[in-house]
Amino acid sequence: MLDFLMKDLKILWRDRSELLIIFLMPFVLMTILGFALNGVMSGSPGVITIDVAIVEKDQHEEGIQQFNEAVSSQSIPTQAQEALMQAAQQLSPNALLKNLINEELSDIVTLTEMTEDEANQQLAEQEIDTVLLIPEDFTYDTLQNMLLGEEVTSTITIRKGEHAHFESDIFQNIMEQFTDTMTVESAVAKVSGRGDSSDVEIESFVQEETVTDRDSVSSMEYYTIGMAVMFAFFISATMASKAYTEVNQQVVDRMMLTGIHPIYFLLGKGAAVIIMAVIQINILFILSTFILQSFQPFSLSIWLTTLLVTLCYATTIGAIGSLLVALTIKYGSNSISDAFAGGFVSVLALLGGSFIPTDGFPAIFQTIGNWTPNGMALRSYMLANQGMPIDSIVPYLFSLLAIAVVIFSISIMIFPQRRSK
Amino acid sequence: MLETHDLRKAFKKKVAVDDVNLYLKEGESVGLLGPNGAGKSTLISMISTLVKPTSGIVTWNGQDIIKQPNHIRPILGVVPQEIALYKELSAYENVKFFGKIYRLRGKKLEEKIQEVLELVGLKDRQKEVVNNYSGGMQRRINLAVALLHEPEILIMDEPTVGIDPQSRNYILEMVKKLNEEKGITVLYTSHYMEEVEKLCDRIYIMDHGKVIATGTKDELTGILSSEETIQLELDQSPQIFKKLLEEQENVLKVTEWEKGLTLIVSKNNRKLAHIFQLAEQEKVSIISVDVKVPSLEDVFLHLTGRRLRD
Repeated sequence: MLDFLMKDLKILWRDRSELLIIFLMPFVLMTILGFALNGVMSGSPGVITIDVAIVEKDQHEEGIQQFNEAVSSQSIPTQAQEALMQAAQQLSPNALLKNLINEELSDIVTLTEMTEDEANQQLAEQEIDTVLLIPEDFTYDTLQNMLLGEEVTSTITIRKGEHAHFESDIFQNIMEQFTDTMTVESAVAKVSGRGDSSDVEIESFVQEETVTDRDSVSSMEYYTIGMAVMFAFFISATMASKAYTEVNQQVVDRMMLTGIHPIYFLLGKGAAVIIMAVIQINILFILSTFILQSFQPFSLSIWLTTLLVTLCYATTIGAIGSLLVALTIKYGSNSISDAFAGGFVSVLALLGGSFIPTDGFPAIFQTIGNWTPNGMALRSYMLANQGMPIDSIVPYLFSLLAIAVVIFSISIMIFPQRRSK
Repeated sequence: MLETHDLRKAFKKKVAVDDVNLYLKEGESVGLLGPNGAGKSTLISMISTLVKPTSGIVTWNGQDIIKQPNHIRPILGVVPQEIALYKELSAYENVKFFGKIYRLRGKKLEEKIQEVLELVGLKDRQKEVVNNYSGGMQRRINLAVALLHEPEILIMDEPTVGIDPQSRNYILEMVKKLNEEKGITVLYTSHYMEEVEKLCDRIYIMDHGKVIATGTKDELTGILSSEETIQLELDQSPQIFKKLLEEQENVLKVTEWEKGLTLIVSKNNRKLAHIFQLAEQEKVSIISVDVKVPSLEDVFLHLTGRRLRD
């Protein structure tokens, strides 16, 4: 495979005009789009917006009352009982949650109170992205958990809209982080005077984990990522067109006659595409960072996450390249890769959000877009860019790798052992 | 022995190869002669296991190589009609790449690379990119790659198309040497009669997908033993004159060539004087007359009514 890979890389490296197109064209386009559509992006609060319906089943005051009664019935000193009751009043988990959403996440989350039926109906009609269900006894159970150290679970339910996987995943992630902070330790910190209000907890949580500590995505950032994920497709098409030349010049015949298994040929092509895609995406990000200064300062963890996304996405692009190569050789024609580069890439780019954010699209297109490789990669890059934890990105990366495995397997199955004509 | 039995290939309604039977004995040099479109390339693509026939079989020492292509592929050296090389790479890089996929490694690989480059006379220019080579040099590298793994059978598809006479002679001499000195079995396709005449022990003549004649050169030209070829060079378009000649009893066939007409006449009844008379009568000036012993070209003309290069 290494022989095939080295040969393909040498050939690409010596085709300087092709290299210029692969590496510089996306930068030029990205610059134009970034400046031209600056107003479109800056007019919105951010690329990510999540419409959430909150269904409140918890009786907040009753919950505190119930907790106070529970404390009174315990055989602990009266002074301690009073301190716990005061702490319960201060902690108020329900208020803490709403404060987080309404104030700290106001840039990205729009919260509307509804009944459960209303919320379900609006979710079905795709009017909202997610339903947040606060259960009965949420206040009581959470206070018991936090202040009495009792292992009582109170489950916040999140119903995700099929049409808004990405937004729902982000929201779920934020809620998981929130519930993780509802611990005995946080309560002790507060009650012992080391923290006075719930704000302390929220702020520390927000600082570390959420999207809101970074500016919302600029148009330059968005289009750098958008163009990077789109132009990576063209490397697959370029590799297929090189394979077509190999078919035409009967080089592929020559390889078949050596008796070597076609998987090496395809692996070589796929690996060359992966390497070229990684180089291309990194060049774009680097040029964009240093020439256009479009990215916000990155921490090391964001760089590493971005690199991981690049590797996974490039693997999918490599598999797509293998498929196009296999089809080109099977049918002895480059019309499939031409159609891919000439039309299908644009459709994928549009659905995946490379040209404009897909928020304004009909729900069905958003759903399809979420399942395109470039759509997944774009969302992963955005999450990484916004400093979201790796947990929220991993599902997209697994999906990208799964797509790569499926596509590569299909490529091997259709790669011919003989010439078609 | 390599054999084909009723080998046929049809693409939709067009039959490219029509029930061809041929054989190659070990160490033989066999020519496949025919005009462009005769089906030669399709036939050798099937023999070299690259294309599956519509019907019929190909056997190598009795084994069906259509079903089991790997029985023959390791001993097969194929020189395709196209320059099947990476033109962006140097000759050395090309030969090395193919050597590696033929599983040659290390010292053995390096020795083979230098050996075949020497054989094709390009050892000194091995580091140059193939794209900078002349057509003839590219053809020589095309052949070098096919020889890397020391094949027992060499199948060549029009290996001298579009090259200078010097390179052409070089390739012909080399193939002759490989056949005579190394005992490599050669199947050589061409529409250049003189190449096949020079190289091959036996010849198959193909037209419209069929083998229309087979034998040694002498056996084939023997078809025309009772006939002669007269080539007339004329000063004008020969249409009316051609028609007149076709009506003559002693003239068996008349075909046009770029400068005049070619006649096949009965050997003992050539009646040249009568031909001159007819030319004078039609006011056609005969610039030259050439009476020839029949060649393979004439045999083809006789069998098909067309020239090999038509």
